[in-house]
Amino acid sequence: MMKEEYGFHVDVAKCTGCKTCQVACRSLKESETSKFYRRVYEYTGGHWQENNDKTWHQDVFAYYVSISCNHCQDPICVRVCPTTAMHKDAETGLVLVDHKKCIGCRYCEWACPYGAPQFDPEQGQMTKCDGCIDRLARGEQAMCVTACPLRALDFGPIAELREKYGSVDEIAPLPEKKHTRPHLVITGGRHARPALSKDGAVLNKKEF
Amino acid sequence: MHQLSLVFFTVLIQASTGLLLFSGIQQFKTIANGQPRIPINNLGFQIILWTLFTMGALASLLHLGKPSNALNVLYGIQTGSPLSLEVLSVGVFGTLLLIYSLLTWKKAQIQKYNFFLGLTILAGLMVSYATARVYTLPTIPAWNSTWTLVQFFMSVLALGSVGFLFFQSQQQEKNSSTPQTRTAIIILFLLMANIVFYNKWSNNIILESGLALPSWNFFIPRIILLVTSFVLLLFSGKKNNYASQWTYTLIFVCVLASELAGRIDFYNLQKISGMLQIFAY
Repeated sequence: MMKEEYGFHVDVAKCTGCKTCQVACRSLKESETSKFYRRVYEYTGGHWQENNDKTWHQDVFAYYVSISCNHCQDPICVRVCPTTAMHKDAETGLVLVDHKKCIGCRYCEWACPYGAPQFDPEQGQMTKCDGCIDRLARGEQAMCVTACPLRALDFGPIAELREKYGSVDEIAPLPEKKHTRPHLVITGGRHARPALSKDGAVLNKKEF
Repeated sequence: MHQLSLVFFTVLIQASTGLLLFSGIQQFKTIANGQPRIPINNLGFQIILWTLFTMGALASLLHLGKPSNALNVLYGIQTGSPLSLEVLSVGVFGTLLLIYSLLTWKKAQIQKYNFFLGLTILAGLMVSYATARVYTLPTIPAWNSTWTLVQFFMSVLALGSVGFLFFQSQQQEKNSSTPQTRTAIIILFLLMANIVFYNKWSNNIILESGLALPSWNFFIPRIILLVTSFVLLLFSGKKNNYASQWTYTLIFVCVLASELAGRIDFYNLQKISGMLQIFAY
């Protein structure tokens, strides 16, 4: 039985897409890997439409979604891992990689719909967001949360986050929650589109 | 493409299963008539079979980022990881195959080991089933379908039937395997139909995901290779028509190349998955 289950809150309405969270995370973890554990997706869409009086209006929208591992309730990466290297921490519920066990088969990478586990060719093993578990032990916040200048991110016991921010955990361009039950709470802005929406597209693919 | 070693692993293990399956059927059919003309413990057959199996098994190790930790896959058996169960099934198949080979080595009468042979073939088929389970992940819609299982078993049948003809052609001067040729013709026809329908289905999945179709895939080259094999088999299957060893070698190489290409296309479909849809194609 987990003592507490940790998760993230992302306030899409506040986020300006400055990517400070992404940079801060990478700076902290760059001794481990060159991967982006947190990624900020720029999701935009909309059209120009002609009115009856021959004038035009637009419904263009854009918003940013900052996503790392969601330390899911039912993580498919843990379910499929052939070595049990991918596991949930008994104290915090954070999904971690045991590098003494990992064989680098990349099965978790295939299975995770959020793209959280990433293969590090130098180590020959999987790496991923660990929720800054060492900082957590020192009573500090996750680095991405601390760095966010807009206070658009939060991290803590998921029950508390849900009480504080609600229970929305799906939004485009994220996948549906049904496969893993993510420990994620999203505050969507007025532009937010539902998961699997085809209204928009991610514009900053090349950044990753 | 980091899954290239898995392409070889899956196709070669399935080829060895298919070869054993068709040779086994031949051996079972000859129970009443005594010894088969070309028994399974024939040295040439054993070399082909073990080459396919060993190369496939070694290719699977190349996929690992940390092969020194490979034995850790045993931990996942208790948690029911499909990948661990696949590795276990390959281990069981390899062990049974080794025992059967040793039991029948240089023996004149091998029919009494037919039950063990049947068990080994069943273990080989279980490998293909376990492999299909690895890929039927709910988070990858392009893999999470019965098509995955069908494709893997079609590989067993296609590679097994033409592989068996190839092996036979190495052992005798005149082709006298018309029923086996007919079987291979039917299987290749079914394989081509399967590829056409699967391609249509997978293209729909890509379009439903809001993605552009890939700029290339191996659909056309596969069909060309299989039509070539099909036509060569049709001619070789005609009564009193002599087909050379080279013809059967060419047919086997064409079908093997087609299956390897098809498997590359299969792994490329993994991109149609969750967040990966963002980066696909």
